[in-house]
Amino acid sequence: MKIYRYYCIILLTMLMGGILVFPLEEVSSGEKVKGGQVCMECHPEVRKEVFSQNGHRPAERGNCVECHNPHTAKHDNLLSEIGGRLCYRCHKKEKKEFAREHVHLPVGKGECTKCHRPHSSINKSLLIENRNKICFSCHPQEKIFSRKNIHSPLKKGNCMKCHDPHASDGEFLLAKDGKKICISCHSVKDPNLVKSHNNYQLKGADCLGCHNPHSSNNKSLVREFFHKPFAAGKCNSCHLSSGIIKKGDKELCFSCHPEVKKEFQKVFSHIRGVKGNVCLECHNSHVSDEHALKKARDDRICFSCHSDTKKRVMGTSPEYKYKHPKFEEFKCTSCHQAHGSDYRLLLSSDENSSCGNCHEAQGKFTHPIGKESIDPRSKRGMTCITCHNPMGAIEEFALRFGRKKELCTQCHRHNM
Amino acid sequence: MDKENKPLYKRIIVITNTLLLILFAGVLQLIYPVSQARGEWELVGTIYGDDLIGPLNQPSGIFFDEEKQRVYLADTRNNRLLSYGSNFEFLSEFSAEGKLELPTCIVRDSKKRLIVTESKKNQVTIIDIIGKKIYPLDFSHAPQGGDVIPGNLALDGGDNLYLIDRAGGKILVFDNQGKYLRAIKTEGGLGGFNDVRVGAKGNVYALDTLQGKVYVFDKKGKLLFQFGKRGEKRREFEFPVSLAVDRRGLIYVVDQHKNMVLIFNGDGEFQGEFSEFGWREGRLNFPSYIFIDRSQRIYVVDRDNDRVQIFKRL
Repeated sequence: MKIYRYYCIILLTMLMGGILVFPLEEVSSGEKVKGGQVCMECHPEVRKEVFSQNGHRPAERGNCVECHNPHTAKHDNLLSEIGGRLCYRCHKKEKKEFAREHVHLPVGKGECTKCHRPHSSINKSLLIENRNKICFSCHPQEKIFSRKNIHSPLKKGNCMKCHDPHASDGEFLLAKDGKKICISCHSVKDPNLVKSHNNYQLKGADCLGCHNPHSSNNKSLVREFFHKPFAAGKCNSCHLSSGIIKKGDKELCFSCHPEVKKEFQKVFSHIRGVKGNVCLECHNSHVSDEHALKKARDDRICFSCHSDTKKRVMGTSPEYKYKHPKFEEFKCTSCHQAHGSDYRLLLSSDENSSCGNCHEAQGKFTHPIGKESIDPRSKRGMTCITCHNPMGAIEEFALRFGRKKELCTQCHRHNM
Repeated sequence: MDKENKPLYKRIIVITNTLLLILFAGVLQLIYPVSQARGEWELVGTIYGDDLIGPLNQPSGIFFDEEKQRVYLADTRNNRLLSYGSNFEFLSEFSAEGKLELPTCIVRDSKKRLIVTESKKNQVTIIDIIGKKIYPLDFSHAPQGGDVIPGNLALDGGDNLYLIDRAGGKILVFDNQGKYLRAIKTEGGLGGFNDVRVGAKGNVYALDTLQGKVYVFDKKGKLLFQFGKRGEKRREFEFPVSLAVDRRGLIYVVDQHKNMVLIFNGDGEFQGEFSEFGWREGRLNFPSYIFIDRSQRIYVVDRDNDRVQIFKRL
């Protein structure tokens, strides 16, 4: 009997607590609903939308003032706050969860409504589009999986099987560590899998190093380009019979690629490393989807070390409003030499020639530049990047200063 | 309206606004005492190219010889070494009859030998002017000696040479006869060491650019402590590339992307910074190297302005 008494007490307490937390009266006939009713008299389309679909809780409760100011507001649609700041006033838990190293761009910019509808949606989680289609509205399918063989979750549009749409501790917004995510579906003990890898120890292997998780023209989603010895099955070119890489670290690579060694012997040598073969910092020794067997796209490789540049250039700072168009193509190596250079900033030639490679007209017809045109501030010959910051700038044409006056008066002080 | 006929109330508004602005600037100064830290530093000299020697071209390393009171500068792209007097007046130029190739770092030992890293040859060259000999330092006895890509250099009081191995991310130590002694390294570094100096007490200071950390080792290479991280805060590094230690034990770190010199005390506590991005004298554009002489003059190689600027605390 005693135990029933306890159950009764617990149930009653929960009931009372529930009434306190979710006051029914307020939902059905309280002031807030009245407020909502007033709003919806003029905005019937919102009422229709909210009650015919999955509604946002404040909208369902008629609590319009949770987000809107009925009289005046600084922001469009009489919103009391803008973007993510408005949403995070209630979604505090999410705000905490999203504070991770890799954040989905709209989340970082506070653009929650890029994916979610604020009032209601026919989709779960107030998504603007079906869960299986929503990612493709920004990431077109033809770009992500243009190749013949497609990873089965992707065929079904189940991107969230592998990716966290908001934020992640790992690259590519992966829901789990890159080395663990594949084995959540593909068992490393599967005899067929082990056999197809020549009995190579798969536990802890970096599957994504060799397999494209989206699509490939090769079987088993193996990446596109093969290292010649690997394609020829000549593993012993680089490995001992035990599987261990032959001694000599980067010298191993230089023995077949001697021309690359010279590329490092420059004023600015880009060679860096503590983990054995430094070549493998940027290249994959077996297969890759990138030219020269690069591990990933230029920007991903470069920004993995140049994190401050990434923050500056890819961030939302107005100081980098005007960016070089090559950033949109993620081609750092269009201007910079990856191994080493005798020129500033690892450029392939001096500043003026580097820019002139693409900007032919400006290279011929411009403010005087070169050794004869001395910048009075530094007493050094002027170059294109004296006035432009090719990485990005606050002013149009990536100019370092406003072109109406400030740019010119840097040097021509007495002519003004 | 004529200025003389300005009504009194407008004048009062202008005066009040001016006072408010001064007050605001004062409060800002209290909160961010940046300009104060900058104001403590005076530019005492600048080394440029001139008509006699032509412009400098991507200068890299600099060294001050206390005994001879001479500045030695590696003018890298011009394949030469330049020497200057203690007041930064040009003295001489040396290119080993055109044989020097991309000298990037330079030190001078007590035997009056210049020790230079030559990037193009991938070697450290010893220039014994008295013995009239030029020969490379032998790395072959160092572990993975064939793999060494030499970087910055430093000497301790006993003329032991500390050499950054860029490929191995470690510091190789050689005695004054060129015999390999030991390596200094850390576990788990991202990119390894980029610069090294030896303090007055023999402690070894090393900088890891990609981790944004300063490591302090004792004479035997035992790690004493480390500090620093990369980030956006005032005391954090964006892209630190070179460091120096003064006689009082203050550590100066050049941040190439902040275009500043950040100062820390011997415990790694942030003390302030000086300079900023720019082209005018006193400002920096991709600085690449720092050196401090016994007179506490701070030489900063202002690489992309093709000059060296020498600062001193007021």
